[in-house]
Amino acid sequence: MSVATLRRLAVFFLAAPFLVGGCRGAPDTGDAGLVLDLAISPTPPAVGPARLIITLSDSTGAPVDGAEILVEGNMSHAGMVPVLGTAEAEGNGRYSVPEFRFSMAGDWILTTRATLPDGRWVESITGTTVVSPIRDRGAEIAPGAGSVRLALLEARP
Amino acid sequence: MTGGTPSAQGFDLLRAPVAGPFLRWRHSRTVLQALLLAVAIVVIMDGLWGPQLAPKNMAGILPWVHWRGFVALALLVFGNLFCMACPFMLTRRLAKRLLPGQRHWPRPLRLKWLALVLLFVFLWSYEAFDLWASPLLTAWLALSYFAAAFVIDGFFQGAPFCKYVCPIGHFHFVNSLASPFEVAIREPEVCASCRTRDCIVGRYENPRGVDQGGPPMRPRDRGKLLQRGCELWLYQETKTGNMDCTFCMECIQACPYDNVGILARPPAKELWEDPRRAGVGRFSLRPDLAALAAFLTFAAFVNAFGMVTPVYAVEAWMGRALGTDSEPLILGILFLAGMVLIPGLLVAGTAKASALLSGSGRTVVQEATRYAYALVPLGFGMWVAHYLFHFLIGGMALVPAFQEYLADLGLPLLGSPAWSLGPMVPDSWLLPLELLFLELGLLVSLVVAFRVGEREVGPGPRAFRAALPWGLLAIALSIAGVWLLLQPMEMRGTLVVG
Repeated sequence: MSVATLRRLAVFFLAAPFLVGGCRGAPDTGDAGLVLDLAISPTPPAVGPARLIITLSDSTGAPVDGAEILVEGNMSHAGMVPVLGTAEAEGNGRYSVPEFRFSMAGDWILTTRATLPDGRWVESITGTTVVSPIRDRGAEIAPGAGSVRLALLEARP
Repeated sequence: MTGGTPSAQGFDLLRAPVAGPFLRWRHSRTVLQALLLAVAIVVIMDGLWGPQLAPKNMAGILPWVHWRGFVALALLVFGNLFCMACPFMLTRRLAKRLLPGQRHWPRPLRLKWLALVLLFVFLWSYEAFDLWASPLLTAWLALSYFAAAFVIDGFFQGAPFCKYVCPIGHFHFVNSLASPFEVAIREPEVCASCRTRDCIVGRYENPRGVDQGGPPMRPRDRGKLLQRGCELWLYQETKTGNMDCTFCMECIQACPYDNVGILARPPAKELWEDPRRAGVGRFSLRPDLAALAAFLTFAAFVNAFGMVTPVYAVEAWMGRALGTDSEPLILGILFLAGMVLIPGLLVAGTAKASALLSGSGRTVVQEATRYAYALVPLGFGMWVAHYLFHFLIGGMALVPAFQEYLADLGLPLLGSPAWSLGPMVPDSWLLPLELLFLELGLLVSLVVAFRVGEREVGPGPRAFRAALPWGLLAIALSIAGVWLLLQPMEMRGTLVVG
């Protein structure tokens, strides 16, 4: 392989990410006329199962039924398998995931996506801190320790 | 005495099938650098403009899960592969063409103290600003690295960025002291009869002069540079081991006698030997190097402490005691104590005990400068345990993230993201593997401490007494490491939501 060919290959190889890499933008959050809200029980959640309660309404506040709702939980650190959940309809714009199993303590980001039969969709992102089960084993670490880092982060300018 | 490590009968990677021909190829390093440059560009672009959710962003995955894992693996089975493939050095080549590059690096900075401080800042920033959770900051970190390498090596002679500045490179340098390969000469006699010394001065169009019996000529009078010599000033004949060696292979390409190889060696052996090393000097006369070695050892444990549940209780307690909720401040104090102050006291106390028990009559600094290197394998074991944990638990997560990355770019070439992918080994393997690496590190540290003792005070009970305090320190640290590995993981970072 000649040096000239190598150079051409190198230029192509190095230019490729530049050509395509900038096209990936922030995610779209869907239909602005739909409002999605997520609550977690218990709060704060601990490692293990938690119940997710989701409400879907339109811009007037009227409940919206008939949506398919998926929840994806990711940790703030890359490399952890996401936790997925499908919500069950409870009526009057209310849905729930009865057992959303948080696999590790730490900061989680829950991405909830509701899709209506007519194709409209909306997505919301919710952050939560999952506390360690260490307290359940009787080894209390400190009052409020589960939320200290989050509190510190919120205080950051 | 020459410091080279002749190993004519030993395994030479350059003579191995497949790897050998590739590594001997003149452009092999450039190819490896181009690969990592492409990865760096993806990281920067996605970090700056992609979704700011780390698990979905290449800047969240590639550096903090894969790069660190591969670094640990490469150091464990090979050597300083990631300095060899370092893309930041491509900017150095550019800088050498565009900028004057004639200044000498300031004499007060020709030690490892600056690198140690920058390593501290790097490790502290990682925790204080949750770099793993911020693709944007990760991208800026990579960009800063390119800029720093360009500016520093553009204005100064040689490769001061690698030799005195780069915190990542110094992480590699120190941990590669325990690696199984080194760039070294094959036959000392060949170097002894060499007149041109191309491995250090480079090869030019015109001969050097001395090889033809005349006076030596200056490089600028010798025409075009055909092949650079070592820019970190490691003269092969007296080079020993991996300290300051970036595996750039310039010496291999420059040697007209094909007398430089990548040779297998007993891992960590160089930690208990103390020859005068080219470009480095004797380890036992370099307090800065010994401090760097000790710092990185303790940093391995503090860094892992930052990822387990009890750290939040400690942070909360410190916050209340200090009356502050500034996480960078709290972590700064915690890291300063855990990586600098407490290690300083422990190493000083251990050195004092070692000097007293062995009757060496040396000062604390002299003693510590001889024995602190014994801690390197233990620290390396902890780094490997930590970084491989992340890699093994989430290495496959790159697949769905890359599928989504391509799909977002309008190139759904690999199908729908398979989000169930993540772990590379069953969960039940992780803890045994982590403990294995940690305890292997401890074992090697104990051997090194004893061998240093033998070297310093002679064989027998005195060597044992000299090594005993260092062995006890290593055992205490490894117990702390076991405790850390048994703690529940708790990974917190900047939440990217309102």
